[in-house]
Amino acid sequence: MSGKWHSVLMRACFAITVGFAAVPAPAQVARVFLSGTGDDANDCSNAATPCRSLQGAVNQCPVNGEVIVMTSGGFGAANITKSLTINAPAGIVAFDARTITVNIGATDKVIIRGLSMNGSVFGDSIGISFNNLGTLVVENSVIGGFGNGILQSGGGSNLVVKNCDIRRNLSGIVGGPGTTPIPR
Amino acid sequence: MSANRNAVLSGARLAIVILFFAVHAPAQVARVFLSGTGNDTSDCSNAATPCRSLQGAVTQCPAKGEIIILTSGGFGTANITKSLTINAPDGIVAFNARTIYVTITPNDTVVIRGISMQGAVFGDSWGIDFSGSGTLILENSILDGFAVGGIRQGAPSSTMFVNNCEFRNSAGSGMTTNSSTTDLNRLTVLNSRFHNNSYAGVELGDTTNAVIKNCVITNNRFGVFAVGTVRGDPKVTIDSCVIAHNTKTVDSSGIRAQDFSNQPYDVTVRVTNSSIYGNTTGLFTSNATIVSFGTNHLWDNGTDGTFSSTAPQQ
Repeated sequence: MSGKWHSVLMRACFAITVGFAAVPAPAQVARVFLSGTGDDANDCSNAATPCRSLQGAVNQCPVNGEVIVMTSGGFGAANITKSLTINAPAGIVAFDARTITVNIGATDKVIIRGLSMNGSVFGDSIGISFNNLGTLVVENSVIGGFGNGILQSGGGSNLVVKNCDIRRNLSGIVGGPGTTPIPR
Repeated sequence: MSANRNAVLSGARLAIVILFFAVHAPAQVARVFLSGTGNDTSDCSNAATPCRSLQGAVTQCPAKGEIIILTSGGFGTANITKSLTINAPDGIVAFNARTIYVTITPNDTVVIRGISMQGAVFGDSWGIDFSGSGTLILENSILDGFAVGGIRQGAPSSTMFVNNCEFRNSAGSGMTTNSSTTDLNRLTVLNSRFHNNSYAGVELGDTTNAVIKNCVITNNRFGVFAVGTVRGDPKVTIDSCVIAHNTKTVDSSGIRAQDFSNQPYDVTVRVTNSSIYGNTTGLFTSNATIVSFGTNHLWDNGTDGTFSSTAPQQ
C-alpha cells in the first residue's frame, strides 16, 4: 500500500515537472502579440505564436508593456488592471463587441489605440468602462452601438480622447463627478 | 426482429449525433471575416476560415455586426437587407466590379468602408444602389466606371453620408438622388471628388436636402445638377468646394439648377466659400435659384452666369 502511494506520488511529481517544462516562463519582454488566429495558451511574447483574446494578451503583457495587434480579429472583453498599451496599427481591424474595463491605480496609465468597437449585436452597456484612477488615453478608435461609449466613473482620473469616432451610442463620452475628461 | 430494430435505432441515433456535430451552430459573434482566398461554406466567424464572397459574408453576418476584410480580393455582388458594417482597412484592396444593393428598412444603418469598385469590365448599371429606406454611410471608397452611375440614393425618406470617396468615369452621374416619391431625403457629402462623369458629378433630384462640403467636382458635363420634378425640388448647400473644368458639352455648366415641373419653382442652391471657374458656363438657372453668400470666386468660365441673389453675411 505504502509502495503504491509512493509510486502515485512520484508519477504526480513527474507530471507536474513535465507540465512545468512544457510551459516555461518566457524571457522578459516589453511586448506581447495578438491575432485573430492566435491561441491564449501560446507564449505570446513570440510574434510567431500570438494570443487569441485581448484578455489573454493583457494577462501575458508585462506592466508598462505593449500588446501589439498583428492581424484583424474580434478580441472580446478584457479587464485591464495595470499600465499597458494596446496598439492596433492602420491596416488592421481590431474588432471588439464587448466591454473593456480599465481599473487601474492612480499612477497607472493605459493607452488604447486603433480599436473598432461595435456593441450593437450583444448590447453591452459600456464600450470602455474606466472605473477607477490613473490615466486612460484612447486614440484612433471607433466606439459605437453601446449605451455609453466611454464611461469615466472614477473620481480624480484623467481621460484623453484623440482622433476617435464615437457614434450611435446613447451617450458618447460620460464623465463622472470630479473627473477631468479631455476630449481633443 | 427486436435485435434488428435495436440496431436500426442505434444507427439512427448515431447519425443524429454525427449530424449535430457536423453542422453545429457556431457561437454567436458580432463579426465575420472575408478574404480573397476564403470559402463561403466555412464558419466565417473564425478568422482562420473567412468567407470568399461579399454575399457569403453578408449572409453569415449577424444583424448590426461587422464584416472584417482580412486580405485583398474581388468580392462580387451582394444584396444587403439588414444593418451591418463592411470594414476594409488601409493596406487592402477590397475590389468589387458588380453592383452592391442596399435594401434596408427605416431603422437600419449600413456602413461601407474602404471598397474599390470598378464597373467598366462587366458594365453593371450602378456601383451602389440604395433603395428601401434607412441610413447608408459610405467612407474611404472609389466608385469608378459604372454604366449608369456610381451611387444612387433611391430610397425614400433615407439618409446618406459620404466621406472621403471618389466617384469617377461613370457613363451617367457620379452620385444620383432620385427617390421617385415626394418623401424628403437627406444627403451629406464631405471630402470627396467627382471627376469625368458623362452626365453630372452630383445629380440631385426630387425632394432632396443636400450638403456638399470640401469637394472637388471637375470634368463632368454638369458639376452639380439640381433638378426639380413634379415630386419636389431639391435644396442644396455647397460649401468650400472647387467646381471647375466641367466642359464636356456645349451646355456644360459648373452648377445647373433647373425645374422641369410646374410652379412653385423651389429648386435652391446656396453656395459659400467656393470656386467656380473654367466651366463652359459657370452658373446656369432655369426656373430655379442659385444664391451666393458673397464669399465665392466665379471667374474665367466660358460664360460666368450670375447668382440669382447674394445673401448678406450674418
